[in-house]
Amino acid sequence: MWPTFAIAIASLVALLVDLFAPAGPARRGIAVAIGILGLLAGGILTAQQYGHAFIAFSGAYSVGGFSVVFSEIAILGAILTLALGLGIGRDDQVAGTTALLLWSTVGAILMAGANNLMMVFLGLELLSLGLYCLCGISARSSAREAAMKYLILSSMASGFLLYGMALIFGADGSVQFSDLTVAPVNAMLLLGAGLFLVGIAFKLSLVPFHVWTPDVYEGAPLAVTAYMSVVTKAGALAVLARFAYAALPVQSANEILIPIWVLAALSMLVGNLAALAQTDLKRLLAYSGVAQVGYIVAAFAGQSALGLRYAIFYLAAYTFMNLGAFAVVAILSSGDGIIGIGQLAGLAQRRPWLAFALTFFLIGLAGLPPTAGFTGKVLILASSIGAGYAWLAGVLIVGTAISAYVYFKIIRIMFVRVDEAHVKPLAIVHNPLPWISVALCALAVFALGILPITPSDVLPLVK
Amino acid sequence: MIVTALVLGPILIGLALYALPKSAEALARGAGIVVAMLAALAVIFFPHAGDASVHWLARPFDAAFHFGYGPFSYWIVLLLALVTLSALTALRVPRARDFTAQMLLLLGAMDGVFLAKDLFLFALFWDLMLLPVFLIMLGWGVPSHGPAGGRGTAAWRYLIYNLAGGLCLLLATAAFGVVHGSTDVIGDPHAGVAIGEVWGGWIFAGFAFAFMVKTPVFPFHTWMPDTYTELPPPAVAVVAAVQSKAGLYGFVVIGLPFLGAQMHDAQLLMFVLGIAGLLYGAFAALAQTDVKRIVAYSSLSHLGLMVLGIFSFDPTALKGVLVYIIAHGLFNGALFLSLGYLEAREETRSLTRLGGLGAANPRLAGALVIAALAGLGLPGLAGFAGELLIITGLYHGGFVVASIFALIPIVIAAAYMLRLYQTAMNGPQRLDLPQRKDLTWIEGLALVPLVAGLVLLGVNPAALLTSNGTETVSVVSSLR
Amino acid sequence: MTVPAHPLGLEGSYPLLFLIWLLPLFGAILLWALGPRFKSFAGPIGSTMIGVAFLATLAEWHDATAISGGLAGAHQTLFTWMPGFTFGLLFDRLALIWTLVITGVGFLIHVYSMGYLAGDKAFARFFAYLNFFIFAMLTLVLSDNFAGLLVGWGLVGLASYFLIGFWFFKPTAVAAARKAFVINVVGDVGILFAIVAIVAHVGSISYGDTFAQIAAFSPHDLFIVCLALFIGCAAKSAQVPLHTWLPDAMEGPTPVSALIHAATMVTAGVYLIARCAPLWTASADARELVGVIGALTAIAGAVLGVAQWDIKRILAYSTMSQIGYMIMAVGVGAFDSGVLHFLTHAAFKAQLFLGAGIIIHNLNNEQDVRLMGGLRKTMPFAFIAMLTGVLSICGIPGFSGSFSKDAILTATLAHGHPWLYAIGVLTAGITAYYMFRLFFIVFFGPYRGNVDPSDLGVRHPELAGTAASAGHHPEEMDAHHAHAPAWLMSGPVAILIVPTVLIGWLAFGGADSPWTKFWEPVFPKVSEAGGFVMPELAGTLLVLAVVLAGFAVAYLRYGAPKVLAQSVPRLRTESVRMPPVLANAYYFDAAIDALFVRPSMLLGRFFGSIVDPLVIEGVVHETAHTAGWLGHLFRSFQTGLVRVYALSIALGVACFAIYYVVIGAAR
Repeated sequence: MWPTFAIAIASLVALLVDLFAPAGPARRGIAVAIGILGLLAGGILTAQQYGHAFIAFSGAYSVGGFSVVFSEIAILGAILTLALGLGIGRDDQVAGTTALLLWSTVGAILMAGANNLMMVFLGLELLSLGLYCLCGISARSSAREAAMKYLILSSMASGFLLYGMALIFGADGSVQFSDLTVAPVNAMLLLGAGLFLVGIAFKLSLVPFHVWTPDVYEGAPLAVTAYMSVVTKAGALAVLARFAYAALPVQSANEILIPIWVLAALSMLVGNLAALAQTDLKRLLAYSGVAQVGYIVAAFAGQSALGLRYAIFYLAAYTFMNLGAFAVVAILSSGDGIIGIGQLAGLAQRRPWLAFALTFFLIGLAGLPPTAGFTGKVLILASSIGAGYAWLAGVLIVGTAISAYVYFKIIRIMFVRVDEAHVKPLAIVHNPLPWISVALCALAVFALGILPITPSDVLPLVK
Repeated sequence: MIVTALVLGPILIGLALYALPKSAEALARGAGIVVAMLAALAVIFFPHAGDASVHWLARPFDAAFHFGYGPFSYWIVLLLALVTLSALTALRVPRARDFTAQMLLLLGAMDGVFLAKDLFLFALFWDLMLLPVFLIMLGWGVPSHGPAGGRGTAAWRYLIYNLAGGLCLLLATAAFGVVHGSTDVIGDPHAGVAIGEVWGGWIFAGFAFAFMVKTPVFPFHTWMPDTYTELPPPAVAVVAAVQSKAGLYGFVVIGLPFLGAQMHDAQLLMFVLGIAGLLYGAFAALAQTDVKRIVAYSSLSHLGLMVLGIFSFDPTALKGVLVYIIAHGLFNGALFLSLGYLEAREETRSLTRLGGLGAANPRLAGALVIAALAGLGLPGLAGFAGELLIITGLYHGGFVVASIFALIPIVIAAAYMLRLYQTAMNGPQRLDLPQRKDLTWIEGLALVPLVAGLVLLGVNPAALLTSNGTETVSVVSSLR
Repeated sequence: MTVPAHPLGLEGSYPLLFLIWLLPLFGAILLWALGPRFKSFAGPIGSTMIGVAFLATLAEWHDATAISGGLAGAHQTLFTWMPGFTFGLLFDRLALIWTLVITGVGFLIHVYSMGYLAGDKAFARFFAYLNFFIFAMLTLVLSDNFAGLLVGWGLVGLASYFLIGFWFFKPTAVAAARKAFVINVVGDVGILFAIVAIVAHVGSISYGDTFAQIAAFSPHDLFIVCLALFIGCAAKSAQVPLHTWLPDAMEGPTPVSALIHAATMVTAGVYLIARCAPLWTASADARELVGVIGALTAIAGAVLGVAQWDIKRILAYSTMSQIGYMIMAVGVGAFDSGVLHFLTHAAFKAQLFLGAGIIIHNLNNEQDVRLMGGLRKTMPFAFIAMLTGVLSICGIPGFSGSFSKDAILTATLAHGHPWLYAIGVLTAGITAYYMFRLFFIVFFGPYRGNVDPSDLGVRHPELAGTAASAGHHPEEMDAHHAHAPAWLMSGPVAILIVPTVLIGWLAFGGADSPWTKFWEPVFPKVSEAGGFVMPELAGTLLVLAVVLAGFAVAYLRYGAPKVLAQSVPRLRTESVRMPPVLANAYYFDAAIDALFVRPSMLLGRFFGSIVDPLVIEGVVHETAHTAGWLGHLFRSFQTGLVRVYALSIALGVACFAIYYVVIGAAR
């Protein structure tokens, strides 16, 4: 459990910054540095766990390839978030927000390794509580509104989740996933599983439980949006994966999960279709995120071992592509993050490299080569076809076709020649951190695209 | 190694060009020309360069970075290098650094498509080659008078159509990999691919759709006239000459060997579509006033003939297809470059405004007439050899009616090609047109490789057939 | 099936043959590349090439006639595309005769052109084209296979296109050139189809294999092949209904009309049928068809010749009619007579055109005969030249034309086609009529060049559909009077008089004439039921009677002194009263325009501006539109109201609950 401790400690240290460091940019710098260092430490410690498998907290938490990979993705997301936004909020808020961010990340890590229902709930709430505050951190009224919405709807979902857990416990008499696999399948258990899945689907913002996403993403500060679009989903996916692969009675797992495949299909279609109509970049990315998670969930179809690995691969790819895009937006919008597509007009003339970077991330999200998005999509297609879910593969292709409209709409706006007079210049962030994160993401997206390495030791072998 | 260099070299150098200062236009252009020339020389002097293969994926199916020459691809790659060379030499384009870079990316990506021996790799480059064209159209597109109109619209249409095709190709590739267990099969007669009825139908449908959009086969052609009209001349020369062959190439190297049964099932449909395109394109070309649209529709007609040739499964016809693919590339390149010269000089593409240029620009007229004659299949030039062999194959394969249909466009081609040439070049000189200098020697020189190819190939297409036609043909004859 | 060494020809290597074949090409390239710089040398260079080729042909004579048999002659294989597609040169008697005419007449006309086009800006380009034409024509006749023939076939069409449109600043010339080319492509396509069918049956494109395996064709297929080949002949040799391009082709410079559109290219159809004699011998239907078409063309052309005012158009229609004779002859199987008429016609028609050329040249490009007259005195040489030509074409005994024409007519009868014979004889009469009409109008009576055209009923050239080249000429052509020595033009004509008068005597003596002997081993004998051999003398007399009748009418209407006195008003009334059906050449152009040209253009517009943008794009656009609409629909759910969101979530939950309760209840 050292990684979580490391990060938790780092967050406490970050809180102390407010007391000692002088106000102003320096404090921001220190806070962000502490945060990143803490996360790096956590990351390294986590990496060392790869290949070992053991149970902690009397079966509540299982460490293994599975938890490691998801934790790493969450930590990575957190680091990039801090880097691209240079912390969150005003200088005097940064220390606090960084601490909250780290706590949320701890929550995500707990979800990644959660081996029973209690731990799932613990991690989920830990993750969410931090985010409730982070969403509302900015002074804009829309931010507070977003926070409120998130709080209310999320609590509602948590309610369902909790009720589902209660039913499962009632049916099975145990909260351990491992016991669930041998539980007698009755209506109570099924209903419990269903409500549990609803709670997860909400966090994953699968259609129709995605409704909160656009408003919250739009209202929250850019960095927080980026964080939610990756880390929350990483955590929730981990739980879903473990639930689907290692917690369900084998004989009836399929029929229990069918609604999830349906939601995945719906998300791919609705997410992309809705994104068609968006003009605000963050809302657009919110919807595209809905669709992207749909792709990932589709990989679970048939609970094939390969499917899980490809899901993780695509999650990593998505992390880099999405955060890369957010980083570019962050640079362009100088942190605040309210940016309409129209403002990108002629970017290729004014900032060719930024334009190319954003284009690269977008074609990645659209599933074109030479990106991890392309390779990942083919892998997911292959696994779902192999698992006998060709129809999901078909839906995936249709969704991707629609998404091409969405992403290339942006590319087109960036590259069509315009005369300089008509576009109002964008304020550009010059701090190296965001640029570095853009470069890192681009590199990762390309490298993963050429060498699709997938973790071999991921199946949660918890008996 | 050579083959890998053919793919990666242009791409890397193309990207490297962006490191140059914007102002280094001459340097960038020179670099581009040198790269294209080297590519051409490499292909010419190392015809037996071996395959280069690096294992890539083991799961969910075997895949490899596997490049190599095939019976068709060797000549197409050579064609590609020559046309690119001519295109880069021929015309100056604003912001030459970025443009040359994009052209090199296009060159590399298309080399990748034709040299890939792995289906997955093929699909990768297939999608990759869309981007340079899209960006070139956005950055350098010339507004068209076509129904689409407006800059960017055509680029949009090009992208969406071809991406739809590309995604189907992707799906089919994934399915193929899952079913067969490996995608490292292109050009490997011993791959022993056996795809069941159920999967075969779907997989073929996916491939066929991609290929038909790319070629394009009627009725998936509507993206083409606007694309060809709006692309700047050097780019359209390459795209029209070579990229349109990717679909036919796919049918030959993927459809015939691995999905023969499905190809047979689709034969009737493809014949209908082929003949439809053949006539449709010819008649449509007859009525256009935009010179580039005339050539665009003529391509539709010619490509229809090649589709017939492929789906006749007749060895002679297939040889004809190979000859015609190269011939069509050569004269289409020459045509679009000549029209580029024309457009650059007269600032219009409309036959209603052009006229009487021959008197002042004899060399331009000469270039255009040679290209046009090759285009209308003048006996003795390459196009004729291709048509003769294809139609012979059709008749020999028992498709007498189709072979008769295939004759009609030849007459119409004579009409629209001469209309194009004469309206622009002949008749009384028009003083309302800008009076510009005739072709410079370098502009003329740029066309030499293409014209020389047309004549040589017209006199003796055997160069393509005897050495490289055999493999493909054996595949086919095993089919019939 | 692969082609062995040519089964019939004498395989070997013939450098001279290469010289004959490629020298003109070399000349063409040379003139094209360097011509503009060395304008003054263009003429001599071009002419020399052809002259040398002619001499070389004479030198090769022996190889062509050495051995006997169908395709006996010198043969050399060049290269092979693929099994069955082997290309080579074949120089047999047939090729020999054609090569002689092509290079011989070609040489004379090259020389003539030096005078005719002296001072034209594009002098060098002209000779480049002429040389290229000779090369193309030689490719056509020297090829040993159908594909090579088709190559030559297409290239002569191209040369003709360039030369008709030589004055490319004249819209009429440009239009005429395009028309000629497109119609000839129709012919090319016919031959292409024939080749395709032949390859399918025989597995080879070579004459030898094809004729050796005629058995491989069912009668029906054989007829189809002959028909396809004949489409080519009809287009190239201006046979009804593909003849309309020939009169317009007169837009080209007169030497071009003489060489290409009278002496050589337009007789390619005759060559092809003679070359394919075995096919025609084997297919009675083909003979029937071709014979009839030939006869129709002969009379149709002759009748139109009566109604023309442009001197070159008169000659053009007469060419059409005379080729009709040849086609009829080879069609019915009298191959040697057809070839003989080709030979004599090449002489006297070149003669006539060159003579006309002299007149046109001296009258500063006036081509309307009504504006001529009385030139007998002013241009005695042209008078003599035209006279011999006229006498020869009319078939006055002793002149070349008579021999070939009689041969054809008797043969027609002998092959059992009385109707064709009748048409032929009638045509001979009409021919005499319109040729002497031309002759009298041009050379007798007063000179009318200074009469107001309207008094002669000369309408505006465009309206009259004739002589578009009359009237104004851009300065490029005024330079014609830049004086070249007169002998350049008169010399060739003088030389041509000899064959015009004498060459026909080759066929003197009927069955045992040198001509018949020459062809004995070549052409298969066609014997038909109902053949009727008319005594030679009787035949000659009958024809002569008809010809004289024609002459008499012409004399009474145009030649008689009292008629000549009031020629102006008479010509006027004739012009005005000209029946429209003749003035419009039977409305063939209008028909073709209405049947093919306009519908095609309409169809094209329909495809290009209706189907593409509205129908096909429409479907696509609708799909995209629907997607966008759905997008807005989903967007409209995003009211921003929490209760709405809560509702949607609740609905989702409800669905979930129902599903799980159902499957739960199911067990």
